[in-house]
Amino acid sequence: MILGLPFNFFWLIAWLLLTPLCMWGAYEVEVRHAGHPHREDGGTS
Amino acid sequence: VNSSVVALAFISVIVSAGAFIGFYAGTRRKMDLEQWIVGDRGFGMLLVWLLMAGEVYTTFTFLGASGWAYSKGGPVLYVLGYQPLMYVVSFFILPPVWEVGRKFCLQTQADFFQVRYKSKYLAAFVALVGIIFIIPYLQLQLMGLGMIVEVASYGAIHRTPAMIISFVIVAGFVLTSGIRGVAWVSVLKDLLLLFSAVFVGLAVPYIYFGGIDPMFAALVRAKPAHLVMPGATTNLGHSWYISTVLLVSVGFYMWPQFFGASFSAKSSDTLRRNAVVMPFYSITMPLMFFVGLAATLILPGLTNGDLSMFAMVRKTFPAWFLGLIGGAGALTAMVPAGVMILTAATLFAKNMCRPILWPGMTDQQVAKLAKTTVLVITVAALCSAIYSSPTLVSLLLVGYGGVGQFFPGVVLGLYSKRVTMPGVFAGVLLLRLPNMIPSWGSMPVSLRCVVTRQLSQP
Repeated sequence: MILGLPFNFFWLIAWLLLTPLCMWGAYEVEVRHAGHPHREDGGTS
Repeated sequence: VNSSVVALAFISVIVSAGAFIGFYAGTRRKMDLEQWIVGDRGFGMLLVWLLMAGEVYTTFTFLGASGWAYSKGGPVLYVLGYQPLMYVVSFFILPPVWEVGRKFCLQTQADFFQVRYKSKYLAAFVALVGIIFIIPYLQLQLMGLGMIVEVASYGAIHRTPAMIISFVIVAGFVLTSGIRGVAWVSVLKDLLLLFSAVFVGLAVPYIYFGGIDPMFAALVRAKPAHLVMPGATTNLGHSWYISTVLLVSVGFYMWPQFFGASFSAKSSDTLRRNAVVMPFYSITMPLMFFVGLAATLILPGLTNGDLSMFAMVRKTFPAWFLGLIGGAGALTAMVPAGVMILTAATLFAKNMCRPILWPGMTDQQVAKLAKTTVLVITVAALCSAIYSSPTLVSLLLVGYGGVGQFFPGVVLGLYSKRVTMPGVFAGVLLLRLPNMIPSWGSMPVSLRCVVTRQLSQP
């Protein structure tokens, strides 16, 4: 038990909070590279 | 005053408030096709967050989540596995989809396939598959709504009239206000849902066990196998968990209604920031699990586990509070149902009828046909909900199995020019055909393997 929760509950709930942090980092990277598109435009261009 | 009258009054007030907001949202705006389907692509971060949350956190949050925690135990954790992952997927997929949508004025998922693969027949087929799998999801919302209102009103109103009344209201505000009406009803729905989940999810363990820690300790003593895989089931083990988490993570944003919601954002950056903050909303899910797990000890032997949360609220709190939760539950069905009805009607009118049957249709005629189709789809979903009764989660997984097949066509289509229309067509057709045949599930596994192999051969 961690913080009153079984480990599997604790682990998954922890990732509900950690995921936004990781994605915020990814967002910052995306914003920084916004002027340098790296994506091939598929067939829609 | 009779408890059922008090509860029913609260449900009625909340549903009426939601209806008023829904109808009012569309006034003073010219409701052309673009405004009706994608809100003129002007939704900011807050409205997109509420709209997306309105579609993600549905009756499943109130019923299926606590219901699975009650009746199945450990396997319910698949919900906490897929939710953060699906937002990561949305972070990378929705912004480029939005960019393509703005560039080509797309309004539906099938529009995306038409522009990317340059085939109106593929687009019509994608629209057809989308509609076929929206119906069970819509049925799920209807059945959930009926169950919630029936229990929350102490049986004063039966589930069938509850479903009919609510869906007449939904069809009404979808017709008058389109996606903008749904988005504004989400404001009330999300406030009530967040309050309900946090209050009930924390209060129930404290009232009966003195806290979350003692509740789990009591559960481990009474049912040591309930919290580990496969919980109270025999077949939902780790392989099921992994495959389901993967399927739902990649398939979730392939529901056609999420494309419409994405196109309503005013920028791709709005969608990125939305993906970053959406996982916070998922904190409501473990709180619902706590209620379901508490119910396994407090109310063992319920015939319908999906109602465990409402049974606990009914046992623990006064009638007015049950009515409040019931009203919130009704809105959690009405909001996603509104978007689904809107999406299915648009797919039918814009991507099936116009390109295939009547190529000369104007946007006004498409809008008129889509609005007529809203009524047809509402009646079809009502009939299927009234005359069939599978469990909520099984209905949901049928739908995911269907729309998940769009994932390769969307993602590979965004990032590579090598993907072709026949490949995508064959993929969706051959892999989703089994889901479309009602008798498929009753075939022996060996026979299904033989049929699949025959279909897959060149």
